[in-house]
Amino acid sequence: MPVPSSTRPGDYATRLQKALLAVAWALFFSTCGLLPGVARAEEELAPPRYVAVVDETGRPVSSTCHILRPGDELLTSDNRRYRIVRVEKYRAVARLVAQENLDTLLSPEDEEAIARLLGEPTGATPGSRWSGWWRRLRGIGQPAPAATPAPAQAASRVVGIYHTHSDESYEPTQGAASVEGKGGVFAVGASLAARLKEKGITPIHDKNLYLPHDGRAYERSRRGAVALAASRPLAILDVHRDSGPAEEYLRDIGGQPTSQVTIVIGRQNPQASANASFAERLKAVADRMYPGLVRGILYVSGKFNQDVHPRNILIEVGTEKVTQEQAQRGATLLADAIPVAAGAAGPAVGAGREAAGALRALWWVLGLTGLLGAAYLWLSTGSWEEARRRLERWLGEVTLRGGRRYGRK
Amino acid sequence: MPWGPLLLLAVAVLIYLGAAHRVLDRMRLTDRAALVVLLLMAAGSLVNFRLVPPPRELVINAGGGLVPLGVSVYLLATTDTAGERGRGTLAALLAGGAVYLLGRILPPEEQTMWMDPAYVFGPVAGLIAYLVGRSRRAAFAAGATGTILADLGHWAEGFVRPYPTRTWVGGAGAFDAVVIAALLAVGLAELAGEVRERVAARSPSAAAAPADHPRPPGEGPEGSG
Repeated sequence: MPVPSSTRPGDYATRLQKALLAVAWALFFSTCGLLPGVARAEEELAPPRYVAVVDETGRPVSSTCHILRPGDELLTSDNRRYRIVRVEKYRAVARLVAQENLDTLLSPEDEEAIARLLGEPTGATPGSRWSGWWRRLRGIGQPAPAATPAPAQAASRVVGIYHTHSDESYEPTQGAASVEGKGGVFAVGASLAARLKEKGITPIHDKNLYLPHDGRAYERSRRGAVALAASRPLAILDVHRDSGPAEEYLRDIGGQPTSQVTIVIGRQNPQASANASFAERLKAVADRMYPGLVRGILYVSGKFNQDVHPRNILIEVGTEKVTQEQAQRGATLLADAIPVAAGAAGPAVGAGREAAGALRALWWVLGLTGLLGAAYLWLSTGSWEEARRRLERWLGEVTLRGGRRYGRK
Repeated sequence: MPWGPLLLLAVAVLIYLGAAHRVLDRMRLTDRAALVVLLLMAAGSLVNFRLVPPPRELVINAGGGLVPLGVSVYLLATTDTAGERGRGTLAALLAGGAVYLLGRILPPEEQTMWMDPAYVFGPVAGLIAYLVGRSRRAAFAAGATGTILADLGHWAEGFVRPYPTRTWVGGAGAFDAVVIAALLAVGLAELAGEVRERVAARSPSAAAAPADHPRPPGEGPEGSG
């Protein structure tokens, strides 16, 4: 029976080509604004400009300007780990999955360094791993001066700071939530840098403007992040501010209203495990020094340029409703915890976790590469048999070249 | 840096450079030329040239900007016909416009999209390049030059802004969006070409056609690399 001309296999190539062309033009015209609804659907966050996170009984857990999806995670101030199970526009429902104990991430050296920074008695002899603990248990030891920095153990003493969203500001101080070219986050970054300098760390504060606040902002700031990573820093921080009511972020720390800090980790990034390990150590140290300062850790989609360094994190300091001074105070206190968390005080307990996480990511990278390579071979050869033959030929060539190089025949 | 992340970084870089070498190899560059281009990209990542001083600063990185731009110009200049050259140039211009406008329209927060915006620009440029230019060479040129043109659009925007601006073309070196877009664009062109060829090969007209010009191994369906 003859095949009708309208469905002849000979037309498939032309049809496929036309379909591809249609998709290309649709994409192009959507970028020109002819189909703005398609591209802008997810941008309509206001009002309200934040997502409320509740548990399965409806009790408030947290809030954030970050759009959450099922599978994202949240570690709260009191170390309860939640996983987002459902998102209903501006409300995300989270399930409690674990109660973490971040104290296990701190080594005796960290404890010594924290005590030293807080001016508590340590009695540690430099180089002794357990003496600090023992002496503290026995209640002896001389208090050290409050401002004494932790002993320098790590090779690097540099911390990089930059601002992808250079316009983010604080309404009570600057009169607007977004001030192009003069964002309040720069003053917050400067406070962080100043305190780090007091602690013997060399801050590199990248003050470049990566404006406008659009879809290519992270691509532009990536260039700054790579430049900071080249200076082999202890850590890199992309300083932002969150959205939401002031009371969500303001806490009384040391007798003064202080803005809390949320740490954000991009899960779509091969270094995510290492970044998360650092974030959790930072929270553990900050919890000891200034309980309540770190509001939590968010593990969301995206990569936020965190693939350029294993200790690259994004921090949200306050919301647009807190004053710039309150945010600066929060950043200053966080700076006290950074050198210890980044391993400046000694070997970091989290290093093993970073390595394990990296190894997992390594298998993923290798597996995906193999899978994509196999798919490409199959597609380009037409059958698994031919793909296998081509691979064998290629391997044969490589072996032959290697053999010749080392004098084998 | 702990050994784990270091190993991961090393393997990722090796795979990335291996893929980049393979892509360059598919564009009538010899093995050695492809390797030289890769080395220039890697070494050039550390070199920046300031083309325009502040307050409207324009900086170009050698590895992430100049080398991909040079390769694009070379690929377009050595095409077989003027038509192909014209289509390649048009594809680059269209891709530039699309990347620039996509950057303005896509949500500013990465996590609001199902994939990282950095991986969107390349395939879009590649799709436009493949459909207009119909070759891998045009795809590479459109991916790289399109991203550079979008950066230049950002620089031009600076003249109407009341604060100093700095545009850094290819600043992340071999790992910049310029290079990533070019590689993804070629990958997409390769995929589209292979799929199209597979579909065409199954058609009766293709089966009946004389094999006067068999495609050499490694060549794409368009034969223009």
